[in-house]
Amino acid sequence: MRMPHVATILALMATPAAHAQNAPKWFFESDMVRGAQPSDGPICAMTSQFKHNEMVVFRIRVTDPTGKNIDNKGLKSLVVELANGQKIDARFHGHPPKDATDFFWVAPWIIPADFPTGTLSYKVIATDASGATQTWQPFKVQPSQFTVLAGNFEPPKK
Amino acid sequence: MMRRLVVLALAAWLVPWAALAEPPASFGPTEPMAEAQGGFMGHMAAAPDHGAAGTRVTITADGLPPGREVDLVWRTVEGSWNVADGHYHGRIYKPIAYRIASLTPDGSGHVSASFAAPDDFGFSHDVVLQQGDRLLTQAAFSIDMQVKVSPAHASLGSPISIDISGIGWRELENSWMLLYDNRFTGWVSAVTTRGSAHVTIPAVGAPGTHVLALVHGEFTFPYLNPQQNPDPDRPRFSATFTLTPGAPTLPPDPPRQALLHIKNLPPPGALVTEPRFAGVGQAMVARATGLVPGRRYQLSWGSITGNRVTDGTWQENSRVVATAVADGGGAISFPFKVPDDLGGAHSLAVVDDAKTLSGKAWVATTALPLDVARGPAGTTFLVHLKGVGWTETANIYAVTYDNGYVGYACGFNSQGDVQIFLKATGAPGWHFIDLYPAIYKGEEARPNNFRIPQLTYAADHPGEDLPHFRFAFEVTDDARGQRASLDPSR
Repeated sequence: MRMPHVATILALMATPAAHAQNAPKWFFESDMVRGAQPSDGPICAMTSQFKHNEMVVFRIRVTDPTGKNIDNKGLKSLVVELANGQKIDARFHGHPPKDATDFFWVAPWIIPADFPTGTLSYKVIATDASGATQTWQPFKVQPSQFTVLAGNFEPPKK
Repeated sequence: MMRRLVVLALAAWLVPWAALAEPPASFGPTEPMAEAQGGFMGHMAAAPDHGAAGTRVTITADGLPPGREVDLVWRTVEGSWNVADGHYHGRIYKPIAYRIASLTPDGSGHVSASFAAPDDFGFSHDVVLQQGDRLLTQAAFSIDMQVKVSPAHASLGSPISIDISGIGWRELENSWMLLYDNRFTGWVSAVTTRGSAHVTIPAVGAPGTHVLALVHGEFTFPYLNPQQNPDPDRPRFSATFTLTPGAPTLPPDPPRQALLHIKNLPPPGALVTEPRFAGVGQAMVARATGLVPGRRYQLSWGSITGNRVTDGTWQENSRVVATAVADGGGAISFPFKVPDDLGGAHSLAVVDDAKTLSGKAWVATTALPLDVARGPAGTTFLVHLKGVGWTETANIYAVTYDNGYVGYACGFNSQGDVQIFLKATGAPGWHFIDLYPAIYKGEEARPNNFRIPQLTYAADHPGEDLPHFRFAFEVTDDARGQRASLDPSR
């Protein structure tokens, strides 16, 4: 059973890296949606529970204190890091791909078949051109945490 | 999409039963909610990865630090209702972890262990290996829901028991809805019962086969096509029940259905009532000591008045319900009849020159017999309750007729007096009307279980300990008494 998840849209100032006293003050918001795998299933439906071989997409928006959307010119990299150490690179582009109505960062990832099951926290690490980093974590609320369920994802049959 | 339709076997022995499993606290002491530090260490698997409570689970892990003890831990939550000052604020689930065993990896970093899945909330649980507050690795085990209906055969009015284990605590896992012959009966909770629920409904209808179903419903009512939902894997359950011919089992007289014991009564103060609770009109005595011998005192009864509709406000007033004279030792007794008032706690006070003695009286909810208990279809009859409460968890009762939800009635504005006029319907024979506690409203969006019968009121109602009432009406096939009611209030 998987659970739609609507809770992790956040807008909190991230904790600056301890060594970067002059680090930029960025704001983050993030959620998780089901990826576009070959299927006519519920693509981009928000959820926090995924199975092995299923694509999770972490969606992240980074803004500055004025609300300006920070794109790939403002950041050198944006990485999602799971509790087990798994790192997933995010890319900035428009969504939907055709006739985009919004622009943000996405980190798509197909969960390997041997990936640990259970709930995992994650954090987002932003790095700017100077190398300054800022790390942000969503709420540590267990019902909405990223969860890998046992079993393999099967695309819905038509 | 995978569709899970679980058709229940009627024989209970075909289902592994959670009652045989132990609660998670029986594993051992609690452990900290450990977090990974710099990623996971090693890899771990659970086999099987799901099963009913009591299932034997084997854990194997590799890549751990050889020779250094690690703790195998079961993660779950403790559930509670969040109610205060008459308001309903929702549910609280507090994460908690129990040590299953301490293990020492062999020279190659391998450990294995097995345990019985506990009688716990259903769906996914983390099983983790940790050292202190450092999580090394983890695997999930999912507890499957189990539903048992018994007996398989019974006559009209007999109790049908539905026992459920493995109800979840997360969204889309924690709000289950019971249907009887495609009629919505009510909802099933398991917040404080760790995923287990017990429901009893009457066997109703004509002799023959009847169908019970349990489906999830996040927003008040059953959700009927979950297989087409973005999350299609919610289980569904159904079972058949055979109603056999025979003499009906009728409910006890309504006045005898009041609670004999009430949980969680407020602590007595300086004024102590005997009995600790009573229904409207029943005798009660309030006693105190330490007063001036020979002096006459008044006993004040506090009462909430108001509603949540016209201006949304209420206030507490008090009135004198008894007077008495303190005896030579300064002790006093105030005998009185419980006023026709709201159910629940009422403040009691005796004012002395220098002090006020206070206490709490508890008004229990009671029911009167039906004014008319038989007649042709269309007959109007009155369901009458006294001592219905005022809080968001006690101010309404939800009504089912032959296990089909009809609506609800509120007792706040009428000081606990609830009069529900119903029309008898259905084929000639006995029909059953049940009144269940319900939650009126509150600060909760998901799930939304407001204003529908809480079938699990007895073990899991938030706030007050409230009774359920069952009435029976016999529809006759004599049409001579049929006539339109001229009383517009009916």
